[in-house]
Amino acid sequence: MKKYELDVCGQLCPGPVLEAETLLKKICPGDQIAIYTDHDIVGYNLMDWAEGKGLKAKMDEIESGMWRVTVIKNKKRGDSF
Amino acid sequence: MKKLEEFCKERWLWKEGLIIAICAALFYVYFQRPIGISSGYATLSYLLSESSVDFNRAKIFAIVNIGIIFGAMIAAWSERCLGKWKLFGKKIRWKQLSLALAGGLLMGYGAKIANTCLVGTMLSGIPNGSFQGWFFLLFLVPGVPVGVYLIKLVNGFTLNSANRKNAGQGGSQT
Amino acid sequence: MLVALVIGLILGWVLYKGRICFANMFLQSVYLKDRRGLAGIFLILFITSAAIIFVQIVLQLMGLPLPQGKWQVGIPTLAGAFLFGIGMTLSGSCTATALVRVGEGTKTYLLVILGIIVGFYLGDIHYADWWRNTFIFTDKTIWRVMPWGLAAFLHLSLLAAGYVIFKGVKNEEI
Repeated sequence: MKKYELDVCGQLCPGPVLEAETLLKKICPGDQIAIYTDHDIVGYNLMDWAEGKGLKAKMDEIESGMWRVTVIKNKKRGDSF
Repeated sequence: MKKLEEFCKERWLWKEGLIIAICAALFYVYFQRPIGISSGYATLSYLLSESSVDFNRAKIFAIVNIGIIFGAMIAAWSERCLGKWKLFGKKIRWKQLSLALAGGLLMGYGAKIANTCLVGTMLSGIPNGSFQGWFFLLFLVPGVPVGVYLIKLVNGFTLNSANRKNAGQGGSQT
Repeated sequence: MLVALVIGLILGWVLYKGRICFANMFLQSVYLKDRRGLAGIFLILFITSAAIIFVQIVLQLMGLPLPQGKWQVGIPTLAGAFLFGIGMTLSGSCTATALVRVGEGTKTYLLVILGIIVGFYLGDIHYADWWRNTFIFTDKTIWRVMPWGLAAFLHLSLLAAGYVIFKGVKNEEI
């Protein structure tokens, strides 16, 4: 399982979701993306987006002002973690 | 608190929506005119241009806008660490800033021409039953894919290689 | 006036706490094809419509005149809506949400607000010269076209139907 990092610090609302969507299409199932951002709005946005896609995601604040959202791509349809 | 997840749960967004609706209705009754946010911006822009405007009429809208800023400030202040008010944005990206400025310009121009803004349409245009509200929403929708296309154009159609790094097997994070 | 400020404060608080972003709802529903965004829009429209219709009923029962707003629909409206849609996507917020973001500390939105003000000024110049002379369809509201009770009923039922339709749509997993 490979881990990818995506750095979207400084980007506003539509940007990170679009980039995450593009990245999600390219990786294999079971891989994990860690998205770093410095706006919590972007973090919540990504959580909603993952929820809409049926993926599991979690968000934590790694330091004051930086958030990380971790998204795992599903192995198969209907799989849950 | 999630923005859109709670639709399915319903209960939470109804409360917030109700408060917003009460604010809009209160404004409508008290000031005898429908609420609008773009009119608040109009007063600020009229300072630039000194065109003929009834300043007294429009002043209340600007006060509402300032109230929104401070209201959000107070809410954020109360939610975070009891008093620490952080400024976001450790990194500055010039592409993003230019996109934001361009977006603001287009929004201002569009709002003036259409004589309303999005929140004004939703809170007072459509509830008052005007055709303008529905037409505005309808023609807003095609603008979104165009905007997305522009964002992709500016950022490059694929991800920047600086954005995407493979952490490799057994990476240090998580 | 103080009432306007209080209304603004409440709105800012609620918009922040609820993390409601109208632009985000449109983006989700149009681009990501996530139907819950549309459900959210219809929900807010429904609640505010219900509140204002209720207020109008009360005002009519008390015999007071209904406040009127200035609505107009025409080519400027449609073009303005389109431009507003583009600008909204680029900058990531609508005009009210930009204020909320500034209140919660995101510095970038100060630029957006500046852009909105300047855009308004540009639009004002162009509006007076050119846009105003283009075709304007109507300035009626739905209330004047239909009898009042029927219009209110159609309005509310349409919005409620839209909400119910979009609420229960499940999204496919990748």
